[in-house]
Amino acid sequence: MPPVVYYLTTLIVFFFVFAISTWGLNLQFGTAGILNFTYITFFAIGGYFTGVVMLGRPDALSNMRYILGLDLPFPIALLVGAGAAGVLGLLVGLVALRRLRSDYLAIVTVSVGAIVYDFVNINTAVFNGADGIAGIPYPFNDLLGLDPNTYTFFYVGLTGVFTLVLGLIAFRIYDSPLGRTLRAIREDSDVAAAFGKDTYRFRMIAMVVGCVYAGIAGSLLVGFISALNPGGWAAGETFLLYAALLLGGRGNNWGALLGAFLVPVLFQEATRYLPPIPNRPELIPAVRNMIVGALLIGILWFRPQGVLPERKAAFKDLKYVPRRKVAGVE
Amino acid sequence: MNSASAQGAILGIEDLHFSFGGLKAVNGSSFSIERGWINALIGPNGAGKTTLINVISGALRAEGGKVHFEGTDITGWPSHRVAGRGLIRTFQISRELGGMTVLENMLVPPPHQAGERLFNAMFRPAVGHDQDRLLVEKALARLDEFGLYDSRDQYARNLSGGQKRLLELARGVMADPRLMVLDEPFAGVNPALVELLEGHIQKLRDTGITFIMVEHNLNVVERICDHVVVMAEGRTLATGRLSELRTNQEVITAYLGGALTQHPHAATAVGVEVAVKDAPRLEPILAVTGLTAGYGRVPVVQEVDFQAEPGKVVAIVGPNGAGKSTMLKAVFGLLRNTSGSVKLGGQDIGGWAAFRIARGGMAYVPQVINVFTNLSVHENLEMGGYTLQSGVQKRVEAVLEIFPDLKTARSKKAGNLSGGQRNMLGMARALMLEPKVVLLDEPTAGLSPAYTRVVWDQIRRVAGLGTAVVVVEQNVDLAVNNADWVYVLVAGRNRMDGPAAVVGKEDLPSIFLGGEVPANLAASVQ
Repeated sequence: MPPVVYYLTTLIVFFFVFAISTWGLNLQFGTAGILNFTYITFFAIGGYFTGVVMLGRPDALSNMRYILGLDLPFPIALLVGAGAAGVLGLLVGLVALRRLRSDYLAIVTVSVGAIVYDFVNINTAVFNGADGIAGIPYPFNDLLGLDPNTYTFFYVGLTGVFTLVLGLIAFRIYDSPLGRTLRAIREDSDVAAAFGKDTYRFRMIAMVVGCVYAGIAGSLLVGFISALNPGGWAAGETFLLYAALLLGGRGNNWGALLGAFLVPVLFQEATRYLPPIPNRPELIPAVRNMIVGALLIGILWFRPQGVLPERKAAFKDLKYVPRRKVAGVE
Repeated sequence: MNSASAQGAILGIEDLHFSFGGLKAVNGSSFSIERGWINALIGPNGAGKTTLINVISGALRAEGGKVHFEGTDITGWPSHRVAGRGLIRTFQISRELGGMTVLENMLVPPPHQAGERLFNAMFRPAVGHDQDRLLVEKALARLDEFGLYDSRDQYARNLSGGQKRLLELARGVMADPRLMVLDEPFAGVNPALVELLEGHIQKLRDTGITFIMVEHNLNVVERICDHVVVMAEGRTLATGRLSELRTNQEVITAYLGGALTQHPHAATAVGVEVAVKDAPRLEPILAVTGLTAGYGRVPVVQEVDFQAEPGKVVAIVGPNGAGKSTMLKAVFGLLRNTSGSVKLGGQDIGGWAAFRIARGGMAYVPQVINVFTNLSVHENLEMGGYTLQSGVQKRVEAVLEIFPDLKTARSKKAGNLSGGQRNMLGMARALMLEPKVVLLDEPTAGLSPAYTRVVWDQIRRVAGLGTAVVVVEQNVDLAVNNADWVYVLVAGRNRMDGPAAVVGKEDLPSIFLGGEVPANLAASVQ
């Protein structure tokens, strides 16, 4: 397979993974107004749990230490990964969503992110510390027996199916009365409460579902790249997703999709393979981060609603005839 | 007092207590509310009316006493549980869900929406859509009834102030309430709209909804309320029909006389005002010509002219949506895209940023959020003198001399002051820099009649010191009786102006109540 085809299929998988992540973030931030500044942590938890469920018992040969090691197939590992991300989301929600205002909630999420990051990074017994886990088998390839190149095409299809299903669900939630109530809470949670909405419970739903999206995305990525270490989910990665959502358009799932394509895929991943500048290998990543930061500021300053702004809800097939028009017939 | 178990009572309050720090806002209030009535909750400023309804609706947690709703003890329940029972409250300041359309605002309140369940939202979208179809029909009919049908697809934040008040009521009804608690539904509403809202509330009462409304305008209470609860100092003073209460000496003392004796300066206002009313116009310190301004591309005020002179009070009146507040904001440099000329002391300040205008000698007191709630009265005043090089404390004392009411409350947190006292503090803080011009946006909105007089007395005192004062006033009678010069704004344009006495003789009711008002409301939608 020509390298360019391999490169493109890889980018497509990344695009799907980031689309799922950005939809989850859009549910939390764009729809419910929850400022989760450690969204990437839930992504990582999903990835790690998927990895350690698929890997066999750690042994001297692999030279890794990690929990579980169950040697189970990918579907179960994915469920465990998504579930773990959801449970962590629930725990953070229990602490942060009941009483705290959105700005304090943001601080709690940052703190939780720092705790989890240090715990995983330093404690080698959980997910092998800073070295991370590696050698995770390709999902379903024990049955398919494909060569790595052909397998990439299979994986495009696999992640594509997930993207379609999760995308459909994201759109449905946004357009549903549930989505409407979440947006009402985002606009003014006192008013929503005054109309009988249990704002805590609703925000918790958005928190947990959003984290499950992150967990599934992390799971799918680990299945593809077969490894995960703390370097891959530093705090900056969350801001990459915020940049994607804000550029695309918060509160708009098409905007989230567009942002996932423009920022993490087109800009971030595509520039990752630029030839390094001689003697200054650190220059490209550094400049890339600076540009993402500048992009974030630029969007917030010039077009805070994003490229595809949130749209007004449309109701089709309205039968109602206003009284004045009835009177006009007379 | 009747207990909650009384026949026909929908709501029973027993010995309710709530305090902010040391301030006992609700201090042993007890009363009961009959089903099917429109009940007024009245009382002087600081009587604890808003706090009481916050406790009833669950926004605040009672510190003592009981709240019974339809025989169930709901004391201490959170807001959403109280609302779920059929007790719905509205807010004093319109709290529209700005980023959602008017129609969507109407679809949030209905209880028991199956489409709100996660499983249905994810896997059975038809459940939500089917229910929505019914709710949308219901919401559109209600919007039509309230004259908001044509605005259904507007973002709610783009409605005019009056339309937001209508939406607040219409939206509340969508929750299928049996008891609605309205916090000053008529605050900042023009007379034509007051009548419209009254009609809606009466019609809703006839469909079986019981109302409790905090209201200052006794004419409204007289017209539509079946029963009145009078509060003073956190307690229930009396209940009954307004006609009975009018002759109740205790009520008169607390509601009018009591407030008056607390503020001895109120009596002097009349004398001051007569002396200056017919004086000719002086050289203006603030001259505005051809001012056009708005929020988006559509201008809210167009080609407006007005001027203010040292030592004089200029009142700006007009129906809701006339652009009065917008004009003040534009003059103070708070809006982009303004055109026309604004001259302060002969200097063109068009396009200046607000802070520069403030340093140039103009002060602006917004209608709401006009004090730092976490700071004391004294600290608020110090903040007002932030740019002074020296003599801040001396200036604080001088300003407190003008506001005796604040002097006694100087160490109190501004957040614990009553609405009227806050407006006074906003005004006092504006005076810290000895401005040449003070702009006041509805300083008497939502205040009791007695305190309204106190505020106007203060306005006259401030003008008496040589300051030019520009006041946006909702109440035309007050403006005509207290200002020197009155400008009438309609639909964003000058309609007329002249000495207060002269404008007062004009046919103002036709301007405010005439057939053009609803048209103006419709036109003011952006």
